[in-house]
Amino acid sequence: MAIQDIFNAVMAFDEDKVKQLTQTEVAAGTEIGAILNQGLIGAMDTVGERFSAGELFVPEMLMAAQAMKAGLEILKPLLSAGQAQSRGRVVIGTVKGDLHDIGKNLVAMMMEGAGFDVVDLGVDVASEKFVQTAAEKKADVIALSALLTTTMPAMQTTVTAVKEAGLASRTIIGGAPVTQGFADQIGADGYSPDAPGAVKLVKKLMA
Amino acid sequence: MRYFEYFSEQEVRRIHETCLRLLETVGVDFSFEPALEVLKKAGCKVEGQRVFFPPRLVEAQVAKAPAQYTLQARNPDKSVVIGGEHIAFIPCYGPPFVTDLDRGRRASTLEDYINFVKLGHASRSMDITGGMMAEPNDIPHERRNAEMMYASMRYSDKPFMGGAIGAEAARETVEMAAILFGCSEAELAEKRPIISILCARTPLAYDDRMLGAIMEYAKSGMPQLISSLSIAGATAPVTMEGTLVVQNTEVLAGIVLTQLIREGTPVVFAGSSSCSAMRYGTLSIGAPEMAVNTAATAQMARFYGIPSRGGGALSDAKLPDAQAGFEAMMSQLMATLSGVHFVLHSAGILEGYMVSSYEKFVLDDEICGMCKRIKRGERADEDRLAFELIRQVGPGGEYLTQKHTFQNFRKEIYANIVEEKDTYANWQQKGAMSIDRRANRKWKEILKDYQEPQLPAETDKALRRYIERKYGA
Ligand code: B12
Repeated sequence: MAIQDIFNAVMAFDEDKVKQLTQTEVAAGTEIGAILNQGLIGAMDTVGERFSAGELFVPEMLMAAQAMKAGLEILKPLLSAGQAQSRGRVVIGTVKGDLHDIGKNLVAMMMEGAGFDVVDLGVDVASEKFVQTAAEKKADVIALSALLTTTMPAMQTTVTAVKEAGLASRTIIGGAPVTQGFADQIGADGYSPDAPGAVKLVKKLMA
Repeated sequence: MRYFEYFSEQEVRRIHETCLRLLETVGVDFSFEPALEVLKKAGCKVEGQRVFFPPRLVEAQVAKAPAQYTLQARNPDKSVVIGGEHIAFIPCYGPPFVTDLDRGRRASTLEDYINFVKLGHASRSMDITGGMMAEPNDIPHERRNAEMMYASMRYSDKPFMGGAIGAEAARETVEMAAILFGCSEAELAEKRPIISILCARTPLAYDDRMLGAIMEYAKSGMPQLISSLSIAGATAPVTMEGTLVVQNTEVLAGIVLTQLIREGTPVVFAGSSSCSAMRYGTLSIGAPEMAVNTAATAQMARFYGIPSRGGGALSDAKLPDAQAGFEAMMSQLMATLSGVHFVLHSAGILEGYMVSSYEKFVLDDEICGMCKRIKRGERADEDRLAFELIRQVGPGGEYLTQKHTFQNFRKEIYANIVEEKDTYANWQQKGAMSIDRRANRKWKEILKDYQEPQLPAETDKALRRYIERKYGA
């Protein structure tokens, strides 16, 4: 029943308890994969469902993700190569000339919570910087945020630069004034109107 | 009329002192060298971009900002007092989308901008036609500010708002205003026909573009809103008190800079902080917490003796529906009752500043009319208590045929624009229209009847020449 306790501790947003219970389970010799999948990730899936149903709110979802990550840190050194692999790497940032970051941060946090490796370049990020970082970090996805109609053209510049650099990274875009139509127009690989949708989108692109 | 006060005097002091402590020990980031120089010279400690403000400096500089001033309109009858007992309503600002019942939601154009200037001009409640009521997405970026300013100058003779996206836009706005008034920039500083909104990069920072514009307007002596939009639970503590402290700190820091650049330069103490809609993590402006911030902002500004900005016909709704109506009235009424002086976003806003709605513009205009009626205030003097009249009519009498009623009803009782107040049968006979349909008909009527105020042909030519020289024909 101890794995259920880990699950419950994540659901109770209790980081310390998750750590402590995970350590106890590891010491007791419970299979690492079971702790990970039934305990930690299982709990996050339920958190995600309850969030989508409107029962859980954003700070609760983020706190659960933190609790989950605390447990994951303990398991990481013990995981086999296959198990240890992250779901994928995302380079994210707000485009050149734009300083809005609340939505971008939320997207980054939710992606981390969902098990992605996230490199956050911050705000006012030049297209060269996106390309360079994505190449260095072998990013699977480059995620661009813009909140100003005047900086949306910088998304186009960046998407084009990624293509011209011949990177394998897919590009996704978002932010309040951005639409699916604009994403299609500039040849981005995806768009989502919100953070949970951004996570789903990345999962879909990586599938 | 007495104003609603959210906090006790003691609480206001405590809020102020907390802000001073933040300014002194935590500091605010200014990512603009010229601003850092000014602040350093005035005695602030500067480490990198972080500026730490001595409390005495803050209090001394903030005390220099005027409590009241007048924006001079092209038509002197339409000049607007900022401060004192007056409340000024200004339409929506900044949305990249517009919507109306006929064409739906779409990217806005210069035509939309011009239409909103006309609606603002025709409105009896809008004091200032506004700025960026709709982003002119159909014209090149570089040209947008100039074309918006030109439209504001030509299609209305009320005061208007200036460009704010950087020092160049500020400079351009001032130069065009000098052409409009046919005067030097020094004389323009006496007239102050424009006011602009500059904002902090919350939390606790100002960026280079905003600082460039703040400094440019301050040098020119043009009034500006020093504004903060802190978001409880996102860029500020989740308590509205904590958010108020972040907002207040940012605004004080900005005002200090303006006064150091030009002593007595007119500012508005501007707060538009709200909270996150925690179910989605998005900003919510149709929130009771926003109304709390509005009342608190007015009170803090009164404490500093500076005109305040807060409130607006704010809504998160997607349509001009019941939600849009009650949210808008909540914040507009709060602004009115708490003594706010400058109410940006007083007409048209939907979707948390993303959309300007033609129908909601008209509906909000109604809200503004009602609020101005409330704000006008009553005086319990002998005349108005009307003892003599009541004595004459006596028990069981009626007032509809009294001369007193005939003489005063138009002044006393608010006359609605689009609200339905007729009987059920008559309403049915007139087509049983819902309020949004009535508003749809109304804005088209206003645009059809709109009359352009006269602008001397030479002035118009000079303005066009200015734009064409800079950006081509
Ligand atoms: C808060 C805010 C600010 C804050 C930003 C603070 C900060 N630390 O980020 C401050 C006050 C500093 C600010 C400044 C400015 N702002 Co501003 N701002 C806003 C506001 C009100 C809310 C934005 C927000 O944080 N929303 C909450 C978050 C959670 O939502 P979100 O960002 O949309 O993100 C969600 C989705 O879009 C999506 N998403 C976001 N990014 C991504 C990325 C990917 C890859 C994906 C898939 C999804 C995704 O997921 C998120 C979560 O669900 C908007 C209006 C609005 N409703 O959007 C105006 C708005 C965007 N700002 C505007 C303007 C004009 C400005 C300024 C120029 C100055 C001014 N006069 O106000 C400056 C520009 C500064 C700059 N150079 O960038 C305009 C833009 C107008 C236009 N035509 O483009 C708006 C629309 C307001 C308005 N009507 O005037 N702003």
